[in-house]
Amino acid sequence: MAKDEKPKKKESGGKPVEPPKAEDFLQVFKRGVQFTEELLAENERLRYRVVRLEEENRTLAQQTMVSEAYEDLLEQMKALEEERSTLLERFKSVEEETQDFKSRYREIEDENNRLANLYIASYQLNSTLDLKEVVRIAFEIIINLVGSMDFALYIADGSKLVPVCAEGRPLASLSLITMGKGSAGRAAQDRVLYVSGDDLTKASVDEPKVCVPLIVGDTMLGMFVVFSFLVQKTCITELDRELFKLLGGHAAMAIFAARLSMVTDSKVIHDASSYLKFLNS
Amino acid sequence: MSDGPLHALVVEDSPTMRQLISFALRRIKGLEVEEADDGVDGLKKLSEQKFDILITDINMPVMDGLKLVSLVRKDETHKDIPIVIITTEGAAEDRQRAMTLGANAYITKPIQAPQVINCVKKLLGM
Repeated sequence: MAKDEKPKKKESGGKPVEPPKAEDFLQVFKRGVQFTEELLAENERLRYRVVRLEEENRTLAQQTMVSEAYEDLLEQMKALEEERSTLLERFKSVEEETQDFKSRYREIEDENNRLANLYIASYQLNSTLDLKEVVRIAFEIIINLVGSMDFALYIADGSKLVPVCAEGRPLASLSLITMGKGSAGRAAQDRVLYVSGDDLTKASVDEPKVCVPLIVGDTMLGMFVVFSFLVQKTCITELDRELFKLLGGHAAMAIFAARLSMVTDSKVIHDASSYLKFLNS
Repeated sequence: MSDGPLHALVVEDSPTMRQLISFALRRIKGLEVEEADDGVDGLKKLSEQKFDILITDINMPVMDGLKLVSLVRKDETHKDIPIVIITTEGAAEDRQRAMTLGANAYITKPIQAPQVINCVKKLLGM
C-alpha cells in the first residue's frame, strides 16, 4: 500500500467511505471565511446601528431637556410679564404722583411769589411816615409790581376828587373827578375797585382802566386811577387785584398816617403820658 | 465753576423792586446777593468785588442801566459777566438797544420770580 494512501473507512453498510477531498475542505474553509466575513460585516453594521441609536437617544434626551427648559422659560416670561405689569402700574402711579407734586410745587411757587409781592409792598408802605416817601413807594408798587407808568393819585375833597400827584402825564392835564360821574366817579362813590375790560395799553383819562378807592375806616381818603398799562401788560391777574386791594387798605392807611404825622409834627409819638391816658382810660 | 458761592449784584433804584429781585435770587442755592441803588453805586461795588452776574434796571437816577452795561463791558475784570436787564421798557427797540450794548437777557416788569430765577440759573449754568 502506498504511503499516502490511507485505508478507506467502512460505512455502516460495510461500504468504504471516501475521505474528504482537499477541494471540499477548501470549500468548507472558504465558506467559513465567508461566514466569518459576513459575521464581521453584520457586527460592523450593528455597531454602526448602535452608534446611530445612541446619537438618536442623545438627541431625543436633549430635545426633552430643551422642552423642559422651554417650559421654564415660559413660566419665567409669564412671571416677568406680571412683574412688568406691576411695575408699569407703579410707574403710572408714581408718574401721577409726580405730576401732582409738580402741580402743587407750581401752586406753592405762585403762592410764594404772590406773598412775597404782597409782603414787600406792605412792608415798604409801612416803612415810613414821610408823606412824599409813602406816595413814592405806592407809585413804585404800581410801576414795578402792577406794571403801569400812566396813573395818578386823587384825594377826596367834598364831592370831588382832586389829582395831587401823577406819573406819566402832567398833573395839570388832569381834571377833577365828580363823585358818581363816569366809571371813576362811580367807583369812588361806591368805594369799590373798578377794573375795565378794555384794551389795557390804550390810554384814556376819561375811561380809566383801574380805579382803586383808598379807604381808611369809614372814610374814603382818595383814589388811585390807572389810565393805561405798560405795553407788555396784557391782562389783570389775581395778584394785581390783590395788590390793588392792598393799596386800597395799606396805602390809604400809610398816606393817612403820614399826613397826620405831618400835622402833629410827630410830637405825640414820644408822648408816653398820652399813651398811658388813652390805653388805660 | 468754583466750589464757593457765586455772587450776584442787583442794581435797582426802587427799594421795593430791589427787595423783590433779591428775595427771588436768594432762593437760588449757592448764590449770594449784593444790592446797589443806582449805576454809580453798582460800579463802585463792581470795583470792590468780583461778581458772577449783574442784574440791573434801566431807568435809574445818577447813572442809568444802559450806561452801566456799556461801562461794565469795558471793564477788564467784569467784561464777560452775564448781564440781565429788568425794566419797564417793553418796546422791541429798547430790548434791541440793551442787547446790542452787551446785555445777555432782557426781562420786562412786572416780573415773575420764577422767570428771574430761571434766567439767572441758566446764565450761571446752575
